[in-house]
Amino acid sequence: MIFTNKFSWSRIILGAILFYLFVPLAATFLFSIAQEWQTTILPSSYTLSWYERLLQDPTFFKSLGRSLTISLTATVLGMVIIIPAVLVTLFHYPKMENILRFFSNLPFAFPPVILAVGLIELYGHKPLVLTGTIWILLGSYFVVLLPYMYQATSNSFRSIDAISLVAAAENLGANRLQAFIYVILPNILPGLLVAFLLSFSVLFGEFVLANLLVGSGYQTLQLYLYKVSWENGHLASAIVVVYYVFILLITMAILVLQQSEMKRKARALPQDEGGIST
Amino acid sequence: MSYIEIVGIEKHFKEHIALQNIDLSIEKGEFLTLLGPSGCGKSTLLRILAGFTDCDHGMIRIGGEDISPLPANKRDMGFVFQSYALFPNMNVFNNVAFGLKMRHATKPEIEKRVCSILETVGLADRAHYMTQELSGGQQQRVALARALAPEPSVLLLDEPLSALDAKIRLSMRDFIKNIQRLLGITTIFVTHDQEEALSISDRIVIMREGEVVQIGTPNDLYRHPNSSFVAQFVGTTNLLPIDKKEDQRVYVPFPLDLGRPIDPKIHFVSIRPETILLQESYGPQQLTGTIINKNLLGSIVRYTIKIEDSTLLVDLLHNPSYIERFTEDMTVGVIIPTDACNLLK
Repeated sequence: MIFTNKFSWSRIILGAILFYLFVPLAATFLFSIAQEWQTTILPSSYTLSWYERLLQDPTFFKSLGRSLTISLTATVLGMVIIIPAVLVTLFHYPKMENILRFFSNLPFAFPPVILAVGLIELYGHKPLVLTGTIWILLGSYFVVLLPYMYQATSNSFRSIDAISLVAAAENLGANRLQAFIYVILPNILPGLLVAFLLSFSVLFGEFVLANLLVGSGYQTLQLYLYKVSWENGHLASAIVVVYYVFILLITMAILVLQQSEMKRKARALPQDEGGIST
Repeated sequence: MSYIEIVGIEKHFKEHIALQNIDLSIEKGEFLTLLGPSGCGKSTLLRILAGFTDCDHGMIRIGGEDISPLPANKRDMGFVFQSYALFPNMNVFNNVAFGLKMRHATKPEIEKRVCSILETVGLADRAHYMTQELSGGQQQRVALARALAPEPSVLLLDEPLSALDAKIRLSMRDFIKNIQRLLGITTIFVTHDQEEALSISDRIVIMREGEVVQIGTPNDLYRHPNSSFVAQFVGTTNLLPIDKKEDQRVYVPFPLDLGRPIDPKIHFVSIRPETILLQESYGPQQLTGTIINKNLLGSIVRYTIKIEDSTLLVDLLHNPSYIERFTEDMTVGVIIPTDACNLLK
């Protein structure tokens, strides 16, 4: 009796939490398709005109394009720099790894506002004026994604004993590049994809740095959303819904990849002698 | 000249000397084991041979050719890792085929060679399994097949059995030995397990703190250790410090007649437990002791005998009718044959 009581209580609590989390989303969605919503609990009439207006607005697509461009560029830049850095540290300077980890995790300690103020102070005047340009945003985004990217990359290298695998490949006649392409890369690819998607979605939703460092000079989706939210709540809700669906797709991609990785690991668990289980 | 010549290898890790003055000659087709406690430099030496680690000094010649300047991928050696280091993204077939692909062998050649070597290691029916689906012993056989597939001139094995459990370790030991005999490949095997080394090797190199202590056949090392370290490391022994020397007799502290002149530099006598005999009845002049412990180890029974202030281990074969004659607290006659006494510096 106590057990079933507990059971139903846990369900109620879970339901309440889910309700609490979903209400704002549902309300936003409803607001984005509402034509008239004044004194009633639910909208009195519905329309898709806000989406129509949004999809006909060239500024929306421009800012979406800018957000995609800056987030993708920063993420690719991050991968191109951080993956080789982790690789070189692991193989040639294993003692430096702690230092690399420390610096990579530093951005977690600084709130974006502090980072932005510091950067404006540094790059707002001569000799190097970068504020208001895409370059300062690109640079600061690189800093923001550093911890995510570093951790995911370093974990995927760690999970495969990269040093022994490279030695084994070299022993069999492969050079360093071949060892990396045929042996290391296929094994860390799922981990790198997760790193990519994680960094990308963090940057895609970034507002503070974009607003403080560049502002209207390079209007990203978040800045566009901010502007529209002052003018038309329905339109802003429609943007949020589109944005939410977009992020949901990326998150689902991450989960699917992580699951396939977990399956691979589960199969790798040691089994008894002669035991061939599939 | 020998097939492999290792001349004056030295290696330092910062202040720490990992290897010094290593000179070794290995014959073609020989099974040589590097044996020593952990940290003695045996694995470092193997990694230097494979080209994974650079040495500070020295030269390695194979078939008269100096291979020291060659990188690991040009050395034509097969290496088997303790952790297997199988490629997790490839199935068994592709793991074994990797070395042949890197050497640009044709597809039919690869197919033929991989199938034949998998046949040899008894895994022909596992070719399309992923390596993670195999047991530890099977994975190690894949690693062996992968190392052997490109027909390397030398096979290097770095503690290949230590990750396996005891039963499989024994069968893999015989398996490696048989394959090595079958292919006649020159093999260097690293282990810290003296029993493994004694059973598998043609010759053993005993290492300690970066130096070679003794080289010899398993029989040589066991019967004629050149130092107290080797005597204790290989097998079990009674190592007795010498208190006093007379003409042909030493005191440890009980008297031992050796029947030969004694070098003044000798400080220890080493006596293997299985060379000592026990007697129920003894004469007045004979050496006697008291059995203080009797320990059953399976096929042998180990007695601890107290003679004056020192203790001796004595191993007897576990033959029930014989063993039951000797019980704890009994005083027995102890016979130590003079040729069983190894005199050590």
